[in-house]
Amino acid sequence: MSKHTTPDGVERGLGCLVPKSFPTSFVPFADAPGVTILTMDQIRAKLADFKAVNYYNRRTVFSKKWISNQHSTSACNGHSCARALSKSLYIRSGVETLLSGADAYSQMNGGQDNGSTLADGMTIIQRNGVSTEALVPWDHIYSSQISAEAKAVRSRYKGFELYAADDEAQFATGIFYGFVGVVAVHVAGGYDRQDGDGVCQGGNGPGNHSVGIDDIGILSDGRIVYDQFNSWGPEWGQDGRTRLVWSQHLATTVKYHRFFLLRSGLDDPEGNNPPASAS
Amino acid sequence: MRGTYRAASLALVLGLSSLVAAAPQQPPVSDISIPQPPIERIPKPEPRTDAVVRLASDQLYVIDAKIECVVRAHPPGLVKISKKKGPRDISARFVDGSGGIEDRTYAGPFIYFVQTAGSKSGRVALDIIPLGLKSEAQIVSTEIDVVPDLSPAPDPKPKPDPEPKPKPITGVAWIVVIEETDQRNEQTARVLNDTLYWKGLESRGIKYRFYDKDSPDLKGKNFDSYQTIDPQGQSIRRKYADELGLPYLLFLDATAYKIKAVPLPKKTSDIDKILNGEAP
Repeated sequence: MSKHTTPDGVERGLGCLVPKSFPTSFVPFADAPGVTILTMDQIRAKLADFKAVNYYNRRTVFSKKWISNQHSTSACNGHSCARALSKSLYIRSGVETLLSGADAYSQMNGGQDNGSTLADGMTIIQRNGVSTEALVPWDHIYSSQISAEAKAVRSRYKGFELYAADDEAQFATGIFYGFVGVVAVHVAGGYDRQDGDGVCQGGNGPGNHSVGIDDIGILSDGRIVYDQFNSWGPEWGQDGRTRLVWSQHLATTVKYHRFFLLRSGLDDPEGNNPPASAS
Repeated sequence: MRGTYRAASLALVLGLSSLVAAAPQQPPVSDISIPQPPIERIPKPEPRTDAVVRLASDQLYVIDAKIECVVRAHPPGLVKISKKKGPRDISARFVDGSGGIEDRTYAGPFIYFVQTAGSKSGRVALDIIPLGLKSEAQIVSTEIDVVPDLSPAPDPKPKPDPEPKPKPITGVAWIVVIEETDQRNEQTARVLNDTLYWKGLESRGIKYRFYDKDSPDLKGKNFDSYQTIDPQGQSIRRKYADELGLPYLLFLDATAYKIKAVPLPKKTSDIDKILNGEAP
């Protein structure tokens, strides 16, 4: 398990594991019935019309308080999955619930702090759900540390209709349609630094760190950028974020890890939901 | 806005304060002596030349009384009558209202709701009998045509305006969008992902929710269809997706009564126009 010390001096575990075999049990977005996958030229043209670096203004919608912090654990995948689910639920309902990266990780790590895979995250979001940060703080990464009450809360927060995205066209189409994604990046070199456009300056490799993507945009030079939210606290990067370019940061990692999109979520059964209509 | 509603109507000597949408209008009983059939009568639906109130399944017929009464309907089975305590604020479609949801206050203290009982239609004779009845003249009688379909009762006095303007929608508590997420396109995405707009609706007391049409959360909510009467008079359900396409948008009140259903507008500003009565 490799480590990375961020500018704030915290040594963090790079816990996004390359699966032993590429997971094949997930439906690709391109195979979802009725989906139209846009070409990159189409997406570029549409983004250019809006001249938007952040097409959905997600940096305003999701302020710094939405950036989680895995601290010294290797729970990046848990945090990216939990935050992606929180955001997906918020977009469809306006209800803010910060879900626990530690709880998600505890369901995937086999009782050790040695990381997890994106595919496992995709599974637990749909099958089990994730508990809240209020009940499971960052350092409760083992199942034995998590209360029965917290475990019971998991089923209240679940994703619905998640799809794998195996190439840029699929992934970019999903983000362009407003879905939230989870990807793997490779932390190396100048990963902690951004250029004048906010683009991450490091990271070419098979992928060792899991992050979320919640927006898409286009730079003045025509490059499409994906807005990444990290789990290293709000002081890292630009308020906890950086921008990624597919060719520079994701084209290699997508070959080793199953990127995915959260298209929707389910109602909290104990939440304030629209009542049934009588007729 | 809530306010006290007072209908121009018959007032009994013993203080029956208002009979909402009394049709035909009856002058004060104390001033008129008219033969009244016995209480146990079984009336025949005689054709009448004057207008009769029509009661649809999504409407309320409200009797507001200062004295306690017995309200009886003949024949049985077409309407149900419930007694409420007043004063009471009510949000509903009233048989004598504008067609949309209205907020009214009824003084009571005795309030009676008359509503359709099922899918059968027909004319009902309604007798309102004050307790401690001293004479049959105190009985207020009227008739209602029960038409249990979704359409609001047509105005018996059609307005001359050939181009009625949309009115602001009141009482909206929820806006629900039903979509086929697989078929989301750029326009739908821009509307649904204008999160600042949707969150801003909370300042107007409106919450929102987006559902994929296949979501298990929709089971039992009746957001996919509505009840109506076919030309043969049978109660049927029609799917919104068939009539509006996907995605569509429902405006609901706090009880999930469907105030309005429209295709998802092209822009979030168009949703405001519907709410404000600037667009249909």
